[in-house]
Amino acid sequence: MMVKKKYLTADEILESFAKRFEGDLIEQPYKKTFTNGVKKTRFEEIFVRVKRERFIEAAEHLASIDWPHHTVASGSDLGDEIEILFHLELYPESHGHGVTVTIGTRAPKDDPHVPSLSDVFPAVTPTEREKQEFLGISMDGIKDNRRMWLVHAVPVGVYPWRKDEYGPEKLIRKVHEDESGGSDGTHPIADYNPFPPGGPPIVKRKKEGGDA
Amino acid sequence: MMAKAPPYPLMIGPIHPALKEPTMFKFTLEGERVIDVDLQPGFNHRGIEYLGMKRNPLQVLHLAERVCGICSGAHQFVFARVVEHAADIVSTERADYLRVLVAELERIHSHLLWAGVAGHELGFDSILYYTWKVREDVQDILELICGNRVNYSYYIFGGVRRDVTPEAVEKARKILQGYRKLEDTVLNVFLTDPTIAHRTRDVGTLTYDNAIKLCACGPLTRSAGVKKDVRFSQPHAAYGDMMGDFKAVIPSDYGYPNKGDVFSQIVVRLFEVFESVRMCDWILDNLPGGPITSEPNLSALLMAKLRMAEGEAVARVEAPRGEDIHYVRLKKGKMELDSWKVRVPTYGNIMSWLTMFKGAQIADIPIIIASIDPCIGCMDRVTIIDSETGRERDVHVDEIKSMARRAERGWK
Amino acid sequence: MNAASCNGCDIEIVAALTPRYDVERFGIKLVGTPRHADVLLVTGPVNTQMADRVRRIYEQTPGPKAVLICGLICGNCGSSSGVYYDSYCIQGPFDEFIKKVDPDAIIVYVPGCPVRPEAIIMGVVEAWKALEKMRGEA
Repeated sequence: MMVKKKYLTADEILESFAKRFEGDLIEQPYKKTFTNGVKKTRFEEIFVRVKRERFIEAAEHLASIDWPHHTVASGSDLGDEIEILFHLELYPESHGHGVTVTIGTRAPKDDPHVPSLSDVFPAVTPTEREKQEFLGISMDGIKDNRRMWLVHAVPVGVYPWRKDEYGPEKLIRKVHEDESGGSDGTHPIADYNPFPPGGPPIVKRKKEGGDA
Repeated sequence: MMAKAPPYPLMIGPIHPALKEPTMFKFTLEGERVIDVDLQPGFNHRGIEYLGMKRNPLQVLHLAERVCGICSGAHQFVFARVVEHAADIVSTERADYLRVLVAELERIHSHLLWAGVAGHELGFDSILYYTWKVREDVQDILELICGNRVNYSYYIFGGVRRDVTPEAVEKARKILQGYRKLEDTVLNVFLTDPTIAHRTRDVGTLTYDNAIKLCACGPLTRSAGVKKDVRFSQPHAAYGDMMGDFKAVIPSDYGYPNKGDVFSQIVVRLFEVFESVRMCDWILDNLPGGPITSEPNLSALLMAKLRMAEGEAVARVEAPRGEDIHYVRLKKGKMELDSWKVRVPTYGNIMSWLTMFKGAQIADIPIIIASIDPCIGCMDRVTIIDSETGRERDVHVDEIKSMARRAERGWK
Repeated sequence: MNAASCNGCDIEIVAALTPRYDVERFGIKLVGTPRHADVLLVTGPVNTQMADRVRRIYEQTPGPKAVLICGLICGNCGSSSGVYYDSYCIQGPFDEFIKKVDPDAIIVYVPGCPVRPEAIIMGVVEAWKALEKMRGEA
């Protein structure tokens, strides 16, 4: 017979974060509560944002409560800063006690790097690689630094989720405006892939796959 | 007698119509045994999240379901929920039930589809034809309820778009009854057949520790005995009401070992099909009355609620292949989403997937790729680099499948 | 082949092969390689990553050949990019690509999001007619 596990409530988790990271929080941690169905079953989500100096500590703090289920990291361009959020779940194996926890941090655009959580959660590597490519931020201590998702899609130096001059606007092909079909040189990656002279670029592709 | 060949690479892909991101695998092989594997995804990248940041939530609702054509309902479900959470819209009780009904019907269709594809990858095409024939019935219910076979456009912020008619309920019950009758046959075909057991037992094993450590999700993690299921850990929509009657499916509850191999995944998926059939029956029995949406006027919904909403939210839904999670941030006065992140189930399983290949044979690669349900027709073309000449040659999936068939018959 | 489609069309193609629709009774058969094919069935908008591969697969298909494009109702992702319009890595409608490789290509459009199996069968029949017509002229 298994020992009955004690599940912390969302309020207790929030309190533990607020207490430990007091002064290093970007904003006060908060929770959202939702109810659904006829019986109005409750489930909760927590958002915690700490300064990047103590971000790994925040992840370790979460892991010390219980081993969380890591899902994904998301990121946004906030204007002057880039925000990285890791979405996790506590008590994923429980019957109705799961709590979604989001821990996040921010980095200024002129110094875009945040610590990688891959030492704490081994499963974060693909999503951290994705953040590096999509937001042009670097994750310090990432296990695998290669590009992953956009190797063949966009050139280096274009970050699709950026809302500034690094964004992908110049790559967009306006179908209704573009009579020439995109390969007249106006499309920056028109010469990049579609019809390269000299046959299939198999050798070239392997080289690209290895770059950082 | 030749000297032992050094390890050599094997590329599989990139044409791989599975996910948002079709994948190229780079295997390192020693003889026929896989010793290392690397993944090069991104061939199917369409910039959906970026597009979502340029459109308003009602438009993104349709974009979201085109993330993936197989779990399209799940993506729309989770996107509707995440925007509701961010904008404080509440869905109605009847809508909660109807949402779950469509989600579970989708699970039936997706798992049956997977079972057929798995049979095909094993070189057992009769199973493909059998399960896909069975699957057409659930497509009929979905078409009856939603109006389309694959992309349902059923979910909307605050509820669902269409109510079920009494005739549809009647017909759905009849078809679900048919599934219950088929239960024994289907289980018998998959779980007692020596060919399937031979090809899938102890193939592509994911250990319990790896499943926990690498945060696998969906039927894959449940096959290793980890009871992760968002439907029950965070009971949303109508799942909270049915928690007493249902729980996450793991093989040991049905008398099979929690091995995390391909066979355990078959067990989990098949029992989930019939669990979902019972869930659909339960929903139809307990369907509450009332309106199907809390905000029937779409322009009011868009202009008054969504445009003026400020906030962020995360929502999770158990899609057929695992947990589907969206993150959305809305800004006041801005029609477009400020930020949107989609995580498809297979994405969460990448790390676990790679560990499953280690030590496997080339002929087992198709079934391991198919086993986590990245979908159909995984491979179109394979490039094998001949280690002696260093030349690349193209090998087609048929050739690998014939290797698979040889393995099945014990040939080498 | 799949050129960055969402999979919806692809499962309907397989559905067309399986017992309910059973295209094999009309003599339509799925083959494992473009080198065996007479008709190439393409789903999805063409993105940057796949553009060159689409061209290579088209060139691998022996003539006389026809191309079937499955697309979306809301603009047909194969024939006009559909919902993916405006994305940074979509190279645009598939037919333009094929016309550049082979100006005389026979293209059959199958609209629908996703296409229904019946529509696929009809598309193949149309392609068949076009091929017969071409052969008659040649």
